[in-house]
Formats: sequence, C-alpha cells, structure tokens
Amino acid sequence: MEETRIGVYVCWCGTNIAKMVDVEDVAKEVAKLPNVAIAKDYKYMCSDPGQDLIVQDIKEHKLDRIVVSACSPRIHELTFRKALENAGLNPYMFEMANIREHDSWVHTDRAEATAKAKALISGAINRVKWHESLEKRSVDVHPATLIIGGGISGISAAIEIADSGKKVFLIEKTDVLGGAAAKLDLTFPYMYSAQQMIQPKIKKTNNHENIEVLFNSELKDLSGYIGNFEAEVNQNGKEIKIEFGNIIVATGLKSFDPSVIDNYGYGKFSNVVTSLEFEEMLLSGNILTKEGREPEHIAIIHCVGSRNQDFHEYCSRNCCMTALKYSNQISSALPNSNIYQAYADMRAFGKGCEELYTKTSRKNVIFLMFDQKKGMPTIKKASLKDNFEMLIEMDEKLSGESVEVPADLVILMVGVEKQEKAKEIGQTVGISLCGNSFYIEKHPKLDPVATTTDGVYVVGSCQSPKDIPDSISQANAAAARILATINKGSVTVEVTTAEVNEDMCCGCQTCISVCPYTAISFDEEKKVSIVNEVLCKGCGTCGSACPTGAIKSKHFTDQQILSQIEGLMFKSFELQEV
Amino acid sequence: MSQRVNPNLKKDLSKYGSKDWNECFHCGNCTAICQLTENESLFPRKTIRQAQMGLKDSLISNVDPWLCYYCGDCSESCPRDANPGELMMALRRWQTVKYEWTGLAGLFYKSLASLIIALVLVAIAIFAIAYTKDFNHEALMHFGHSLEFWLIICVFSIILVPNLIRMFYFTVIKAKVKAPFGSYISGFFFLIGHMFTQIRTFKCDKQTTRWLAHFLVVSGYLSLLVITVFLNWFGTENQLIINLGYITGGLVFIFTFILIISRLSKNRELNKYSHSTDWFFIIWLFLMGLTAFLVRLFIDIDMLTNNFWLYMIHLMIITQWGLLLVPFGKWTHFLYRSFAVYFSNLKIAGLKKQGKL
Repeated sequence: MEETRIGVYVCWCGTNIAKMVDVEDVAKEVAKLPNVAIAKDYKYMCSDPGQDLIVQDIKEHKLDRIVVSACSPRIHELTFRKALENAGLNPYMFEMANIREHDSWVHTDRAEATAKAKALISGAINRVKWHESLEKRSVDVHPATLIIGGGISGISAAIEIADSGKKVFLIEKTDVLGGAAAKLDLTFPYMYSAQQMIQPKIKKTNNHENIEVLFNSELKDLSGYIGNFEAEVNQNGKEIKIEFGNIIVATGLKSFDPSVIDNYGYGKFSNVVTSLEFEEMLLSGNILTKEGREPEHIAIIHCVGSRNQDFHEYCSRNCCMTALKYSNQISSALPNSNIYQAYADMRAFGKGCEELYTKTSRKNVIFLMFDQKKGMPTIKKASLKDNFEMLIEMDEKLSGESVEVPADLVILMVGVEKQEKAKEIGQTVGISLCGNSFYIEKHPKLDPVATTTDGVYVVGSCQSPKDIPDSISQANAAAARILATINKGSVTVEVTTAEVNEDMCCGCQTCISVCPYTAISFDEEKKVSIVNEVLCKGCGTCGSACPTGAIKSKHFTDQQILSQIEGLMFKSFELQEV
Repeated sequence: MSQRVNPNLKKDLSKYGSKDWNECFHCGNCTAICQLTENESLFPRKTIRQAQMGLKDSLISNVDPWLCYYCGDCSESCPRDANPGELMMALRRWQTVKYEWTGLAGLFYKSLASLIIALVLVAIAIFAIAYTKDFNHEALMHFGHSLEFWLIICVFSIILVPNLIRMFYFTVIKAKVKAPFGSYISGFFFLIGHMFTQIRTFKCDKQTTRWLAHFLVVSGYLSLLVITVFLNWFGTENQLIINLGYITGGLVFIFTFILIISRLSKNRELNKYSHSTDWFFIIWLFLMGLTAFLVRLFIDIDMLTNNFWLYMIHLMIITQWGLLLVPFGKWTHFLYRSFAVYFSNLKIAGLKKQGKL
C-alpha cells in the first residue's frame, strides 16, 4: 500500500462547516496520515474552481485516490466522481467524508467537532486505500412499453409514446378505457365536458397501430430489469407473455365507501348519494330524488373519508372543486333550489379554482363550515310536518351556532383511496406504498415520476390524488422519460453490486430468500447462486446473510468497511504516528 | 336549541339593501378594523354569518347592527367586496320592520308604491278637511295645532312604545340575557344622555363633521317640535319664541339640505346605497323645516291669509310625517339606536355576572 498517493480536500462550505470545524487545522493534521500525498482546505469544493483543484492536483501530484470531506455524498458524490473521471482516474477511487450533516450542523463544541472531522476523514482515508476500479455497465433497452391501467393517465402516456412510433402494451382490468375520468359529466373549473375530452382519446387509443390494448387483463408476473422486462399477463384466463423495456403504473383510484360513516346514513336513506352516483345523475340529465321528485333542498357534504384521522388523513384534492361544480350545475338546472355546502375547509388550489369559488359564492348556495375534530354533521329523518325529507344537524364553526339544514337530496363528496390491488401490483413491479397506500415516487420534489426501481414510473392518482391536468402532466412526463431512454438505446446500470465467489458458495440459497430485488437466482448445474447484476441494487443484504462469506458487495467489501472503522477509531493522530 | 338554516331570509334581506355580503368568506378583516368592536361584542363578521345562513332568531336578537355608525372602514377593507357596512344598514332596516308590530313598516319598506299611495291618501284627507273648513286658514291652523298634539301622543303610545317593548323582548328576554338589576338603573341614565348626543360616534375616526351635522339636525328638529307644538310658534306674539323658531327651522332645512346633497354625491360608503325610506325620511324632514319657516315668515309679513295653500301643504307634510314616516319609517332609529346601547350593556353586564367574560 506504500505506493498509494491520496489527495484529501477539506471543504469550508462557506461558513457551514468552517464555523464549527477548524478546517485549516484539520487539513494540516490529516496531511500527516500515511499515504496522504496532499491535504488542502478550500471555500467551496463543489464549485468549478474547487473541482479544477482536484483535477490539477491529480495530474501534478500523481494522486491515485481522492477523499473529499464536505457535505453528504447524496448531494455531491457524483459531482466529484465526475471530476475524477475528468482527470483520468476511475470514479470509484473516491470517498466522501460528511463533515457537514454529520458534524458541523449537529455539534455545538468547536473542539469536539474538529476532532470528529479528523476521525471521519481518517476513516475515509483508510477506506479509500482499499477501493478498486469498477467499470460502468450498460444494457440495451427494449423499445416497447407496458402501461398498467387505461384511465386518463394511462391512455395519455400511451398515445404520447405510440405517436413517436414506439410500441405500447396497455393492460386494463375492465372492458372499457377511460377510468374514473370517463364517468364524469362536466369538469371543474371551466365546465368542459369530460366526455368530449376523453372519448376521442379513448378512440385514438383503441385504434392506434402502435397500441395493443389488452382488456379484462391483469399483470400476473414480472421479471427482468430496466430495458429488458418480461411479463405474464392474464387475459380472461389466458396467459400472454410480453416483452418491453419500461413500465408505467397508472392504476388510478377507488372511491371511498361512505357506508362506514354512521352519521351520514349512506345505504339507510335512499336520497343520500355519493358524488359518483350524482355524477351519473348529471350524465343522465335528470336531477331527481329516488321518488322521482325534483329536490328543493340539496346538501353537499365535503371531506367524506378525507382529512379525518378515523378514515384517511390526507386531502383527496378534487372534492371541494367538484362540489362547487355541482353547485353551479344544480343552480343552472334547478334555479329555484336551495344548495347547502357543508365543508371543512374550502381548498381552491389550482388554476381557475379560486375564481370558481368566487363565482359560486354569488349563487343560491349557503356555505356552512364544520370542524371534523369536533364532530361531523349528522343526517336525520325530518319530521312528518316538514316538507322535506332529511335534516342535517351540525355545529356551524363560523357562527358558533348549532344548526339544522333541510335536505331532499344529500351528496357525499367521497374521497379518493388506493386501488384494491395496489399492494399486489406494487409487489409485482417492485415499488412500495407510502403510509396512505399510494405508490412512492423516487423523490417527492425532484423526481415525482420515477420510482426506486429503474424503468418503472408511477403516474396519476395511484401516486397521490390528482385532478385531470395533473394526471396528464405526470403521464406525459413519464412518457418523455421513457422515450428518452428508448432513444438513447441503452442505460447505465449500478455497478456496486454483489458478486458470488463460486468456489466458496455452499448452495444454501439463504441469499435468494433475503434479496429484496429478486436479483439472485440459483444455478442448478453448478449448485451455486448467481447475481443478476442489472437487478442488483447493491444493498448488501445477501453479503451479510451469507454464512460462508462467499458474497462480496462491490465497493462495500469487508476489507473496506473494517478499514474505515479502524480509521474512525484512532484516538488521536499522535497515537497513530507511534 | 339548534336553529334551522333558512335560505329564504337571504332573499328577504336583499330587499333592504345591497346583497354583496353573500360573498363574504369570513376572513375577519371587518371585525379587526372596526373601531367600535370590543371583546364583549364582536361585529360585524358574526352578524354576516347569521345573515348568510338565515338564522332568523339569532338576527332578531342581535343588537349589533344598531351599534354600528357606518363609518365604512369595513367595506373599504373587505377583500371580497362583500360590503359588511351595507349589510349592517340593511339589517337595521330589517329589524325596524321586525320590531314594528302592525306590519305597516314592512309594507312601506318593501313596497315603494304602497308608501306613495299612503302619502297621497293622507294629503287628500288633509285637503278634504280644509274643504270642510271652507279653506279658512285660522280654522285649519287651529285644527292642525291640536292634530299635531294628538298625533304625538297616539303614535308614541300605540306604536313606538309597544315596538320598544318588542325590541326589549327580542334582544333581552328571548336572547336569555340575565343582567343584574343594578345595570338596568345605571344604564338608563347613559341611555338618556346618549339618545340626544350619540357620543359613541366619537369612537369612530373621520366621523366628527358627520356627527356635528347630525347633532344640529336632531337638536333643530326636537327644538322645532317643542316650539311649534308646545309653545305655539304660529300663534304666539312672543318675539323670543318667534326668533328661536326661525333659528331652529332654518337649522333643520339647511342641514338636511346638506345631508341630501351628500347622499346624492355618494361621497362616502354610507351614502353609496340609499333605500327609498332614507330618501323619504330626509326629504320630508327638509320640507318640514322649510315650510314651517315659510309659514311663520308669511305670518310676519302678513301674506298667509292670501296664501292659504302654504299652510295646507305644511299641514299635509307634517301629517304624513307624523302618521306614516315617524312610526313606520327611519325616524325610529332615534329610539332603537339608543336603546340598543342600553340593551347591549345589559347583555355585557349579564355575561360578566355569569363569568363568561
């Protein structure tokens, strides 16, 4: 190891690190460690001059390994790996010591923080000595795409991809396309007809030469990895095998079932209907009670199943504006009716929505606010002398009064929840669900379309409740990402994977049972485990489970980890010199 | 007890003023900016809510509309242009109708035609009486003098006092106010002082000139009433009374003229929307001051005998005023405003006693 020449760079991060860590002293001290050829401190290592400093030093001082002690590797590891590549070094000959998040930001004693920075860097130096050159690998991308779900998101993405000449398999569990959006009459806030917008898209999808729609079908099994997936689809009991390079999950939503809320008497009172049932009423062109009368008093109850600890904590996002849409439609159809909106908070979030609220507040609508925490409205049967059917009792928040609201027809604005089979589909394609059972995106801010499984994208309401424009935006974004991948022809895959030493493998298959990515298979002939490097994420689970030590996790070898720990444990630099 | 939400009240209320208040989304800016709102009585936001929901019982028991002097700050600062000040004004008109027991106020407030018909009928009646008196001005003046006297007594005892009792019932008894007995006594003296001065107006900014004009009209009107009815201005030979009459009569018609001009110019929030009853109130007040002034002037220059019509017109105006506009019109705000402060103080005293404040 004597020939190794390591360059160490200590970043100030402006004052972020320098305020709590004596960076100059750290650089001076770590320079004394064995194999350290050069140690420098610099204001901003991530800046262009900072990176240039590394490139120059590699060339001038013949450095073969680099340690940068700065922020979290999540932020800048790739930046510095790139710098190494630019200088002609293998990018894996690099290690980062996090002295910001793990040190300066969380300590209050400068001396201790400085000592900790030295320990962290010492660990990184010890580790980087054992780093090995790793080669990036790329795989070809199959140009077809699988889309699960034929709702507005699924068909939008399908058309987008198919129009560019690439093949799309669209699997739909029912026998029609359009999903939830196709069951709507008008859409908020501009009152466009959903049918007029969606039917042409459905027609185009059905007739597109590049789209193969598989009705009444479900995804049974999926194998493979980004660029090279293979699926088994069950269509009416018939097994179909298809191959493709990317997947879009667009399984959409299910409406909340309000019969679990006793207060609302859904199922008990015939004229308490869900928003979906009311939508059918609007499509049929008649707003009538079950008895066939024109309702005089129409009450709309918001947040049914949403924003309530007992049901779903989240906001379903569409119901407030849909309720305002109903008010406008009822107001036009039955101008002499009285409309009551019992709401918890009016959320007019999107383009044109606040305007819709203002417009609606000028109509024959009474807005009544309730506090879900203090008690929800209760629907009761009106007495015989009243000339309406039901009475809604509620504590009105803004007036502080207990009030009764007459109603002939009650519309429950039911919330949105996960599809019944969300979990199974998630497991099959290898994506997970959040606490609210919506699919988790790769990054909630920076990458809301991709998932942690490469080649799998989530769009529409299966990721979180969405309105039509947001679903289409996300669908088209996923389509663009997939087309970019297809266009490139190949994708780079993770190289920090696990590797089986066949001589040491005893064939116990422990690794296969623990692998979360189904990346390990068993070679029956050789009786050893084989890692599919494309599927492997390098999580290391198999490596630690292997009883014989036959599995090595590249870039996380035992030697590297143990050396790093050794480096960390140095009590002082004087001690080490002895 | 829960109250029933009543969408029809909204439609009813909109007949008494503009209905912009529908758009209120309860941000509370109006209450925050109001100079008069106090911890003990927060308005106008809560009152707007009662109106939007049509809580009739709450509204009828609510004295807050009478505590507002319509400076217009709330309407100017409203982000929704919901015009809370105008709602308070509309509610005062609505409550005037609700307190009035015969239902005639409701008829006149909602139907301009019926008010005009009533005014015409009264004018015809006076003309008929003048006819029976052969258009003899001395006989008519004698009749007019006793008519004024009896009108005041009757209107007070038959209409105004029962209405005040109804107001007391709605705002104190029905609202379940439990005030200690002492507060009824102590509040009463404040009530009398306040009735003639309206000093609460000074809590609002920008109201001094308006207060002064109002004060001069009120004192001019009350003095003129005393001088004509009780000191017999048109019949007296006492020069002091005659001169006092000229001064008060002049005050009334000059300052009502100023108020008419400002209503026409719509220069303040208060003046932007005028209900028909506002116009009748102020125009008749003006005409009363003007014709009284002219009648006495014609007596002094010895021209009244040849101008019999002048006194007849004056008598028509006075009778229309006393018989229609005072009991069933805006005049009653003189009483309701003062008593509202009294009742509101009772309510606060009651809440304090119960430890709720």
